[in-house]
Amino acid sequence: MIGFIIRRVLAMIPVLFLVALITFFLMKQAKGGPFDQEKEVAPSTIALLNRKFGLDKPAWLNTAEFNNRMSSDGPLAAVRGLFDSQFGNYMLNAVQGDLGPTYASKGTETVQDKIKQTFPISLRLGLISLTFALVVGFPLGILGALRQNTIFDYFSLIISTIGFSVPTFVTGLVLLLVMSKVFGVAPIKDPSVWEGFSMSYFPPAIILGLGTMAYITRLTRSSVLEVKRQDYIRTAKAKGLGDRVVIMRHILRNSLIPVITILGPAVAGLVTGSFIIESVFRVPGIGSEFIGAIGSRDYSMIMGSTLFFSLLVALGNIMVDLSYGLIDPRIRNS
Amino acid sequence: MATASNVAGTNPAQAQEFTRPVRSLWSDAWLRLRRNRLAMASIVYLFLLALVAIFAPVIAPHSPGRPTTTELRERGVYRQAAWVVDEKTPKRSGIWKFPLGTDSAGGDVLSRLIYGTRVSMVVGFIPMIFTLTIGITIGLISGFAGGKLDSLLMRFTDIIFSLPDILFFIIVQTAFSQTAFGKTFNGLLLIFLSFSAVNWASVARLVRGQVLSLKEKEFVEAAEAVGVRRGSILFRHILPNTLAPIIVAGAFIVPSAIVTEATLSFLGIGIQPDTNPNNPFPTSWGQMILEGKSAIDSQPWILIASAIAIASITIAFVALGDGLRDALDPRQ
Repeated sequence: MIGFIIRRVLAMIPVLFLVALITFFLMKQAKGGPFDQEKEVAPSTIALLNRKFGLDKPAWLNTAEFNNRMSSDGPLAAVRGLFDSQFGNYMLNAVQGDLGPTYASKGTETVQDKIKQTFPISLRLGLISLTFALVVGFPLGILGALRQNTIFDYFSLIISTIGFSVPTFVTGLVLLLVMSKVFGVAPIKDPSVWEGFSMSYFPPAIILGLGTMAYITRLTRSSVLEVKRQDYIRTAKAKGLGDRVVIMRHILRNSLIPVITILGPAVAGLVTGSFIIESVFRVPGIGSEFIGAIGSRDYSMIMGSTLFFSLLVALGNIMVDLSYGLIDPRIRNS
Repeated sequence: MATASNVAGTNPAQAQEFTRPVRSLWSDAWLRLRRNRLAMASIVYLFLLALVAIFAPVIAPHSPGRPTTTELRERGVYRQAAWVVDEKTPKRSGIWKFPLGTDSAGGDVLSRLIYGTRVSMVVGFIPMIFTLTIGITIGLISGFAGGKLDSLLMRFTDIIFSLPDILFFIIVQTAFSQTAFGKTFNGLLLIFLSFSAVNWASVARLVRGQVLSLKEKEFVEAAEAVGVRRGSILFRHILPNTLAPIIVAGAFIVPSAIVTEATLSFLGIGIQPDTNPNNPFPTSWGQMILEGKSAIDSQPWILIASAIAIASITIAFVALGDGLRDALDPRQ
């Protein structure tokens, strides 16, 4: 088990490195630096800012510094000099948990501070919507499958097809429209409501969880239908077990496994889906922050939050892989 | 059996039934699909949408571009949908000349909606073809070649698979949207490429799995035994047998590409709006939703109309995908 965890954590490293590499490469392609969008700034100021953030260094490899140190300090220092570049320094700081200053704040605030401020809000949102997706999706799927081709089944099919196909920003905006036009609820302006758990989290959380809920419903339904037809269910019924025992002990437990397998992608979907929902409902979470950073071309914030999101997704996948073993002894022993 | 042939001998109608033509997997699947009413309704709806997309200039009552000054006077800005009466500002009350009203620049909402069909159709199908081509190629090579090449390709696939895709799209859009390449076809080309660059991974996994299991089948062994070349085995024996799951996967790629474009356009970094009336792709539904969001109080029908359009097209494609899966996979 420990070996498995270590292997999986190590496998995360190349993925995260590739994400950083791709993001950094793409950010370099974008036109316009972070400091030249506002009103005219003196070239000397820009040079100073670039120097302050290390943007005057080469992007990838600092060959000049390599040659320089090779002749004076020897090969080891030269290699260190080679990586004295924007990317090299960024990665070196990132593994120590320092994601650098945000450009928007001109260096007074770091990216990790911003993440620390805004992530709890997104986490609350994500937890509520995951709970919603599980608590509603699972029973809805079971009900649909056990009462196949009845009104319950059709209801669960309709709900899950809508939730599965319609993008969240569409359902979210429709909900906002209904809330304001039909119920006269004004959109939330006061940011302090997001500081603890509050009722305001429910509309965005339910919309965010809708897709996951629908996916869980669909999967549970087909999984229960599959298990229902197995020989061991017939055996269980033949030996006279009551419906309740057959359903609870034989059908549900066995149909749970395929559902767990999608929880990894589901958590990823909740994490990356959050920034669309947050911008629809104006939730000041990390997703809104990311969208804001895109708008203002705050590259360090974009890099930092992308790495953070990728880390969350990777960790989510590991947790789910671990949970297979807890549920299914066959996987644990293989 | 004996009684069956006796009955068949005496009853010509039943005799015919016993000698009905052989049905292939595909005609069987087609019969099953035809029985699925939801899937058939979706096909009809999508066919109609395809017609709307192709004949948009004929169907649309007005030009989707920016109106001239004299037109603007008649159209008004944020004119309500035809059946809505605005008591406070009577000149914004709806008239049937502009059934769904007008937007902030005086554009006719219905005409824009009709032209928006084009983007959704194109953005659904072209990336699907790209994605399937890349995925099938890598999956076939990986599954058929095996060994080191296989593990190398699969490691690469795993990495691509674990990229958070919407994040990747957003970053690609930010990076290239201002370059000449990013502006080709209003930015549609960039969306096609970035979508396919990530989504092939699941197709490759699927195809590889299929190839691995088909490789062990008797008919492949038989083909090898009679001396069929490897290339022919791959393309004439293995590939056709992987088609059913590929078609199902392809059917689900279409709505996911449509949602991706709509999401990016909603975030303001998707396709770029164009007021040139000769542009075949002047607007997209995602963009209209973004505009509808800011006009949610003044002209809610921009939002409602484009929300219904996106919701119905994605539901139709998913229902069709479900129908295809049920029809092509007899185990279900």
